[in-house]
Amino acid sequence: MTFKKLMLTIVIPVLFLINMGCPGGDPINEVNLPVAFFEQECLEWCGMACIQMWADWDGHCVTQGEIADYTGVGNDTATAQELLLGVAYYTASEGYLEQRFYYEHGAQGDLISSTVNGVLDYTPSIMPFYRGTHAVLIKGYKYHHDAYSRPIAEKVYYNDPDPFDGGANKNTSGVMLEFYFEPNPFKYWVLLGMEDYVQYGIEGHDEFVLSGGIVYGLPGPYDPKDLREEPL
Amino acid sequence: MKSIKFIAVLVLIFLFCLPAMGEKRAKRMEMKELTDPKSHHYVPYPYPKNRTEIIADLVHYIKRYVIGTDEGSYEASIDIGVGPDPDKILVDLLNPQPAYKIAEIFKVKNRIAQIPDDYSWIIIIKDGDGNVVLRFAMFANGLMAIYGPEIMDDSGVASPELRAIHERRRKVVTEADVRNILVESPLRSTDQNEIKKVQLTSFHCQMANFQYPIWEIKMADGTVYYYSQNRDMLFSVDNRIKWAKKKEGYRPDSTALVPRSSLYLADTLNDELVVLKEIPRNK
Repeated sequence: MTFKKLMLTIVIPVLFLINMGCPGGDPINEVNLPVAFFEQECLEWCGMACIQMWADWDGHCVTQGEIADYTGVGNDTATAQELLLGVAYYTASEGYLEQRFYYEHGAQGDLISSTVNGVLDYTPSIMPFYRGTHAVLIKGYKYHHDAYSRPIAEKVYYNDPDPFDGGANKNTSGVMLEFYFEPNPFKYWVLLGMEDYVQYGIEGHDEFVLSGGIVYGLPGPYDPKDLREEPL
Repeated sequence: MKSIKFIAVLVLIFLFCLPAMGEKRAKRMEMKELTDPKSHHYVPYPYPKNRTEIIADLVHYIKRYVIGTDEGSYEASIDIGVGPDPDKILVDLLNPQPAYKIAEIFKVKNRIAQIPDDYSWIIIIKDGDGNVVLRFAMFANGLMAIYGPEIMDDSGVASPELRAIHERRRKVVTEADVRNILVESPLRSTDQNEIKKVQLTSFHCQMANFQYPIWEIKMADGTVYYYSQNRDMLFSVDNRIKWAKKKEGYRPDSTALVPRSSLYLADTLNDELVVLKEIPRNK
C-alpha cells in the first residue's frame, strides 16, 4: 500500500471519526426545574426523599414514611425496583427503569441523554450515586448537542438528600459525568419519568437489549412484573 | 523517503493509542481544548498555580456559565430552608461590594483514577458572618467539577443530629484542627511531631463527596488515620480489600465486599477498598 493510499483509506478517516465526537460550537441550552428540596429523614431513605421531591413537584404531598411503607422498604435501603414502585404510585409519571450491565466508555451516553430529555419535558429523574448505594434527584441540565444530535451535558443540577454530603440545587460538571458510571455490572441505571425518555426503548430497542441493556416498563416481555426477579 | 514517512505514520498511530495502553490515570484534556476560547472547556489559566489564577478561572466560569443564562431561577419552596441559590452567590462575587467572599482555598490530593491529575482545589465561599455558604470544587486544569450551597436556615429541621451536621458544615476545619483532634483522641497519646502529614484527600466518588474530601493523617510510623468533617468522626484503617477490575472491564460490587454498614473509601489508583473503623473520642 502506498503512503498516499494509507493516508486516504485509513489514517484520515480514522482521525475524522475521532474528531466527530469532539464538542463544537453548538450553543449551550439550559433547563433547571425548581423542584423543592427535602433532606432524607433516615440514614437509608435517600430514595424515599427523591420520590418525595418528585411527588411534590407533581403536586402530591407525601411523607417519606408513607413512601417507605408503601414500597415495603421500611428502614432499609431501597432497590431500584422499589423506587420504581414509589415513583409509579406517588408521582404523575408511570416510572421507567433503564439499566445497563456493563461499562460503557464515558457516561455521556444514552442514559444521560434520557434524563436530559426528561427534564426538557419537565420531569425529573433519579440517578444512583456512590457505587449505587445512594440516590439523587436530577432536575436540570446545561447541555449542547454532539454530532449525532445527542444532548451532551455541560452541567447537571440535582437535589442530593444526603445529610452528610448533599444539598439543594447542586451543580456538577459534564467532565464529572464522564466518569459517572462506575464499571460495575449492577449499579448502572437511571429511573425515568416516561416511556419516551427510554431512548433505545423506542427506536433500536432490540439492539439495546442485545448490547446488554434491559428496559423495564415497556409492553411485552419487558414488562416490569416479568422482570421483578432480575438482580440489580 | 517512503519508509521514513511510513515509520512517521506508525509513530503517529502509536502515540494515538498510547493512552489506552494501561495508563493508570485517565488522560488529561488537551491544552488545545483548555486554551481555545471557542471550546466549552476554555479556561483563562489552565492548571492555575496560585490564588489569583484560581479565582480568575472561577470568575470566567461565573461569567460564561452562570451570568445571563438562568441564574436566580431556583426559587423553589424549600420546606427545611437553605441558603440562597448557589448561582446567586457566585454572581454576587462579581459585585464591587459583594455580600459573600472567597475565603480559604484548599489543595486536595486525588485518589480517583478517573480524574487525570494528582490534585484538585476546593474554594470556600463565606458570608459576612464567616459562615461557609458554598463549596466550589475545581479540577487541577481549572474547570468546574461540582458546587453546592450549605443549609443556612434549618429551623424547620426536627432532628438535632441533622442540625448538628449543618452546623459543622458551616465551619472550616483546618489542618491544625485535625492535628489537635488526633492528639486529643484517647486512641494514642501522641504529640504533634509524630504526625508526618495531614492532607485533604478525595477518594473515588460518583459525584458529591468530591466536594467534601476526607482528611488523611499520616504518622511517622506509617499508620494512617482519617477524619471526616461532615461526620465529625476519626477513623483508623480496619482492613484493605483488593478491588481490581475484572478482565471484563468492571470492578466487583464494592458493597458486597465490605461488611454491611461499614464506612469505606474506594481508592481506584491502588485498586483497593479502605474499610474504616471509628475511633471513640472524648468530646
